[in-house]
Amino acid sequence: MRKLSLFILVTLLVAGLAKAEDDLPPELNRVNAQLVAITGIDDPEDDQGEQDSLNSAAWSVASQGLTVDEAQAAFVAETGHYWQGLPTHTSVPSVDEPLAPDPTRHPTDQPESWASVGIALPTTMVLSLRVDAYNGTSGAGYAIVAKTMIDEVEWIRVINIGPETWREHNWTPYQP
Amino acid sequence: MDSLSTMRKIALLGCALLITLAALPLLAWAGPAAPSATSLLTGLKAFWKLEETSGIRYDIHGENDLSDNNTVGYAAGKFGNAAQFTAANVEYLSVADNADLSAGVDSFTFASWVYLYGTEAFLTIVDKGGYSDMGTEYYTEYRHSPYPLILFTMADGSGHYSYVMVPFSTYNEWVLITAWYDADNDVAYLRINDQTPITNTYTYGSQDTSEPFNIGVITDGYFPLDGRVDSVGFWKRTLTSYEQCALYNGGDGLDYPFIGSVDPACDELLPTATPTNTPTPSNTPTLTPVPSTTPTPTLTATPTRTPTATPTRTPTIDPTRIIFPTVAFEQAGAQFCNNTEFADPLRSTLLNVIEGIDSVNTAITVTMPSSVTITSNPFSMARGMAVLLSDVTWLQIIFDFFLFAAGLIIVLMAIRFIVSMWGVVQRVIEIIKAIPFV
Repeated sequence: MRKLSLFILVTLLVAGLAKAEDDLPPELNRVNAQLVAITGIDDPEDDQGEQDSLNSAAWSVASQGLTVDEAQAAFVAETGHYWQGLPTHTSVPSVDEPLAPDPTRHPTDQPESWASVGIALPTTMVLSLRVDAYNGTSGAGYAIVAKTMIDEVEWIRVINIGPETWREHNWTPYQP
Repeated sequence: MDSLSTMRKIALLGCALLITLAALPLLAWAGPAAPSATSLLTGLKAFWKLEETSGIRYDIHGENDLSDNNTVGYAAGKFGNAAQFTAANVEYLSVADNADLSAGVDSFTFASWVYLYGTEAFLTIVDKGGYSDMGTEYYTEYRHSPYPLILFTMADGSGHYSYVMVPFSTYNEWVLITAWYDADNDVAYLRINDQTPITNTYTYGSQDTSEPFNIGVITDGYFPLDGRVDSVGFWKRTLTSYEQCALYNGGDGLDYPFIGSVDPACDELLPTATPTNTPTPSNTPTLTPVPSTTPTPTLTATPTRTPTATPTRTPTIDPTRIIFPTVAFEQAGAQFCNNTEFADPLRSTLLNVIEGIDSVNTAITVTMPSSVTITSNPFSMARGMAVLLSDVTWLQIIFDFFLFAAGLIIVLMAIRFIVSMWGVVQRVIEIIKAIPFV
């Protein structure tokens, strides 16, 4: 009887954990795939990593330019600091409603845009991207901020490349 | 002649040294009438002067240096430079979550000088936490709709929010925005410049998340700021009315470390020495026996800031003497004690002279006469300053030593003069003797 109780408990626990993993909307798999394809950065801790990789192969065919990762490496080697990328979209796209990015956007104090640093954005995107370049006491780095809409809720994910690891977080719904 | 010249040089050098040393306490003294608000250093967790023209913005008081995101610029500030934020570039400053900047259920205050251009948007000024229900700790923001306003928000993460809004229409000029939460009385406040603060009763405090602290944006890049920000401070307590008045300082502002002159109008807000935990002395003694363990109605603190104090902050100065009112010494003492550049033993000595500092009410009690007269003689004035500025014994010793040295030099010069005169007398005698008929 005790063993049966323990078995049920463990089963429930495993089921609960599995449910927790499933809490993220499935649409995010496709969004992650495009994110990986454009940035060239896959989070090894991402449970969807394998699926992302599979999907990103398809996206890579469409993308002929540099990934964000590659573009940053070249840019920092040339200028000594990281490149900043303004949001690719003025409104956040969704899986159901992909939108065309504007690869020519650039900050007022930096002439280089997505296009001019060699990042080839897909014709339409299911997410918007922004790249924040930072400089702190522990060093410089950059953060890729991804946003997508799912069921009229904005989801946001941040990938950090650099010393300020506290910036990174997985997909989180934005609920004002 | 050579020895005389050398002697003169030594004497001149001695005099120069004496004058320099005599001037030292005057240089160290910040001015005769410099009422300050150095109590603002109490409970201060971070202060960003934002003088840097690019890159990291350093916390001058604590350890919360701000990372530069997307090249925050600079422009003319309220004091020197200010951080210039361009919303189109999503420029902001940030630091990782830490205990200093997490308010939780405790009282806190943040104040910042802000210069807005009137952009039609939501613009973040200061933020801790994300923008979602579960992320917000506190933030202040400008909103252009439904009408232009400044908003101070807190959230406890369980669905409880505090919104305090103040209509706002001051563009292209500096304003002081002060937001605070009084946890003891469960009230959130928002104030622009020296206007009457707007309040909201709120009992839940703010949640403590792992979200960063930002200036110019809400976490993840929401509502970036178009405008300038200068001199941002964060305290883990509420500020007194006097301290807030001092920060605004009649519109001139008071920058860190808060030792400049304070608008005399703020004096009215200085608390009188009201003993909060002692019975009110207005209760006339009754014939009923009073237990000896109850506090006596006598005031233990010496309320030196009595209404009889001279209202003018400037000392009376005439060509022959200088009179320093007590209040000037109180302020001078406060500045000395709170100036971190003064190391022990001087600082300890000064602290010993000040009987007590009430950091909450900014009351400083100093044992000093009501006025002190010092002659205009630089030596005695300097020495008098040294004595009056809190028994600075080592300074006295130095002055005494150099006064002794000066005296010795004068005696030596007199001897040399007498010796040289004796030579002249001898020469005169020889000349007289050489006269044939003598």
